[in-house]
Amino acid sequence: MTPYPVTAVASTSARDLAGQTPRWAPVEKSFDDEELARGLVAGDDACLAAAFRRWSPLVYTLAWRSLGDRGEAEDVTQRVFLGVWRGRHGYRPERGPLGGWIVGITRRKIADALSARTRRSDLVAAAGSALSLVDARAGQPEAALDRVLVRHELDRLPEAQRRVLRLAFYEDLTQTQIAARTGWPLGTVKSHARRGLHQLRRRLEGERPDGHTGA
Amino acid sequence: MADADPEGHVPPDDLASIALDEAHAAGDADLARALAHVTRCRACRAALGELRRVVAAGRAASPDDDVMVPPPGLWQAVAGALHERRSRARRSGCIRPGPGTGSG
Repeated sequence: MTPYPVTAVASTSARDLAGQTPRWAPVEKSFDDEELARGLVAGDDACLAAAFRRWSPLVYTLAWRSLGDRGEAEDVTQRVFLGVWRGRHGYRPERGPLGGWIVGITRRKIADALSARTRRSDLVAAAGSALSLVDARAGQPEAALDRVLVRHELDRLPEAQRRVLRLAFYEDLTQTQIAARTGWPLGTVKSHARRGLHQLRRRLEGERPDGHTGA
Repeated sequence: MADADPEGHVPPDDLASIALDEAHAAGDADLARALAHVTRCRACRAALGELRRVVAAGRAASPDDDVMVPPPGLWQAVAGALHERRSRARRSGCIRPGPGTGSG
């Protein structure tokens, strides 16, 4: 996978926080994934700061969309990066990219936040409130995670795969219609679609000990 | 093309086609045959399920799901917590101050 530059992250959508200038950690050096992972394990603060700059928007958005609460999302984001630091010796590059590992930690911290919330609402329910109904309606955190991850990863696919999948997802075109639209042979469209889908699938699943290499 | 595999498993292109063009799969003889296999085959069903999950997420996603910039001050909070933990550890002699990036 092509490592994306640290600075690219800050340029992503900031609709909800328009007007606020993020005060990123004062680190100018740009690291690639491998350097970052090595530096983290070696205990280099600058690498944690760089990892934060690169992945905190994704981590924060995953937490915010699945928990629906900014305060909790901030809290989870902090916990994730403290967890990254504490658990850095447990990162195994052969199992997948650093970003996938961080997303895995994010999933666990979100799950922790959700179960803490369940415990709290159990207490409330035990006290006679009807809050559980509200929770049942709001509770699609897994689907929310998938949506955020898919949009994020779609932007990182090679151009042709991205084009095919955007037409399929957002314009609801069949592969035959995509072939007509792009002028590409149907076989080419199918091949791009398959590679793109498999790449996205890997990202949704997170790190796996036996990463396939289809794309 | 769906029966190139000796076990009759559905080739990845066809699984992707089913996941993407589900509504049209029934009208395509090859895909219909592949789909019939999928209903009998656990491995293909699992593989298709994963692709369907991707497609469902892709179709459901909207600009609301785009990555947002977190509020300022979060890094300071993380760095502060780390600093505190580290100075505590250093006082008890467990951790050395971090070295530079592995450049030397």
